[in-house]
Amino acid sequence: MRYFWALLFLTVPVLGVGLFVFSYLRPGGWLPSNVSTIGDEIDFLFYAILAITGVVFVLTQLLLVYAMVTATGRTAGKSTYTHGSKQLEIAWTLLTAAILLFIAFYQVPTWAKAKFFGQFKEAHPDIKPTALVVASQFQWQTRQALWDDAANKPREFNWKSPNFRDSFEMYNELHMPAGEPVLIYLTTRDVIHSFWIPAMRVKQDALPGTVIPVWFDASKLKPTDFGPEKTKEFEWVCAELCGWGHYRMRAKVVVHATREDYNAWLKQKTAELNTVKKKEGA
Amino acid sequence: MNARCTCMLLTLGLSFVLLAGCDRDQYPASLEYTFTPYPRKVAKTITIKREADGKVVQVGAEGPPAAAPDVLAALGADLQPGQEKGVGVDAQEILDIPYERQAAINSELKQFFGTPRDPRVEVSEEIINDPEMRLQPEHLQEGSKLYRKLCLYCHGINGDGAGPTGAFLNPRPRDFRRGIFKFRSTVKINPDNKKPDPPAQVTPSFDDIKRTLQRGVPTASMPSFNLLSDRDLDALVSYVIHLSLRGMAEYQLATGETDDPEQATISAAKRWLYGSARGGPNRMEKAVYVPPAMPGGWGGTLPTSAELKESPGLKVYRGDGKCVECHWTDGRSNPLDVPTNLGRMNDWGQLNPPRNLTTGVYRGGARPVDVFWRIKLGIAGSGMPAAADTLSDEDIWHLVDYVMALPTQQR
Repeated sequence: MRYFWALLFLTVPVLGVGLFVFSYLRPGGWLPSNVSTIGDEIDFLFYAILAITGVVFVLTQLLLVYAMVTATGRTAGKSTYTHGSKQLEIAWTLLTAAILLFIAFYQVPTWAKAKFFGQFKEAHPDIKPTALVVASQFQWQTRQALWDDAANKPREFNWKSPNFRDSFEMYNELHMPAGEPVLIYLTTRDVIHSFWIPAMRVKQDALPGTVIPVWFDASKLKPTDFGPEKTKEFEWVCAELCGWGHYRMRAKVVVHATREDYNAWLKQKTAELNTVKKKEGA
Repeated sequence: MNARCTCMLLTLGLSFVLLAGCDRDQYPASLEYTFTPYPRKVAKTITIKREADGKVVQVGAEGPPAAAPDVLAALGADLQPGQEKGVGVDAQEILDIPYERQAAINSELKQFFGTPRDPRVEVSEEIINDPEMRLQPEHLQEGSKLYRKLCLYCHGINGDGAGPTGAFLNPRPRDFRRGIFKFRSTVKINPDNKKPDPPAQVTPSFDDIKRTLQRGVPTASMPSFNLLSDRDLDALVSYVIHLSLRGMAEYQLATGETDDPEQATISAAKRWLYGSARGGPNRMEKAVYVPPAMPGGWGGTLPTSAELKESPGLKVYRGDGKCVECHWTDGRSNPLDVPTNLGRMNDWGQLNPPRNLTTGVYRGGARPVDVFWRIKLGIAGSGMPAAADTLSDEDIWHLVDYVMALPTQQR
């Protein structure tokens, strides 16, 4: 048929926009709802860039289809010899560059808040790390502080050289309190992995040979969000292809409703680790 | 649109549809358990000699030497040219049986253990329902589905550790079939007050296997299945026990220990649950060992290097514990210090030298009580002996203190 190719190319913007709309409307198909403070800024940037690129995308695709439609069936005639339009080319280059530069500078404060450790330390000089997270093929290991019964608080946890007296290990599980910034130190045992908690808008590559501070929080939770044990779980996954098991490198972040709940869990976990049951349920 | 375009588009469309694949969630009904060869360790005594050109060779070797050249060189490090001596080496041998016998065993065991899709264990109700086993057919079927999805490609359909991925892994996935599991909390007890058999071959408890599933084995390819529900984990543990029992029965038939598949099955189940083939509910020979509380509790501060030098743990390490013989004074187990470490194998004939204790990685669990169990009960299938007869519990706790402080010491 006459307009077959034009219609074929029209499916690109139609399907493109259609998929986005479908995902947005489908439950669980869009961004997980944000629970962190930095998430607002990050989501806004995401939507801003989506809007800019989306509009440009649809416009350029429609222009293409228009060119194809008007060219269809035109009988061959005398061609014009043209060099194009220098002004047009300068214009669309400068405009694109301007948009990119704008995006680049606009996002700097958010990036600094999420990634500049100096700035974070200044804002929270007394913060202690909650965990050392070690990525490996293909699971996450977390070391969190043991509870100190005598001093009635978590032990001083030396993330540079954790040992069996100040911390304990867990696999594919990280516990944290809600409502306050949480600092972890991230490293890897073998290849590059990436620490990603979608709901908290935090992602950081774990690079071999480095120990990297990462901070995030779960501050937008209401008391009704928490389950019967005053906890809420979030998905935590590896975001950097690390081998055949990358797809199954899922873990969970367990957020406790308050710092007191988190401390109570630490206390209970320390006691549990110390006891040995003779038989299941004993 | 011409015919060519139509064909092209139809093919593309169909390919997309077929990419989705067909999914079944169980093993096919026609699949059966089959015998696959058993790798195992055999200890050999050979004579080695240092030749005039300096190389250490095996004397009188028919075919390839019993150990690798670097192992021979290490073992013969103290030989002068022309001198020879006898040494013990570990070697791997493969137990294989004629095809007709394999087929006979497969069909004999089918009555007692079923098929992968329909697994069961034909033993008494009492054993099946024991909470340490949970071999009810519905439970095993759930386990079979999960095993097929999560475990089969490393551990193999019959649990032989030779699944398609297994060959690419070091250490190899565990071969469940002889009932040997490294990380246990169980000990052989002695109801008759006679000297018990060495505890090293005691089967693990239900919880031991579950803990390994939850924790994974760090620095080995066994991942952590912490995110599975309790119910799923229980089903998997039962299925692993089922595979292990079938392997234990099959091994007895393959080695000629018995010709009777029913007896092989019952003795395997009793050995697992009660600790020996003679055992029974009133004559338990296996129990979880609950150690006395750790002196000082799990807390305190890490000793400094100076304090460590004076610690009772160091005295045990270098004295009665005999740890130095394999792990050396610094805990590194370096073959340059201990030449015999080089060729050491586990019961499956895989290279498995004594562990470097300074890495801070504890494959069987990093709680102090886990390390206590490794020392007291030994590590089944490996060369780590049980200290149950030689060290008191108090001494073992001192040793745990010392050993777990090693990774943080400055050198």
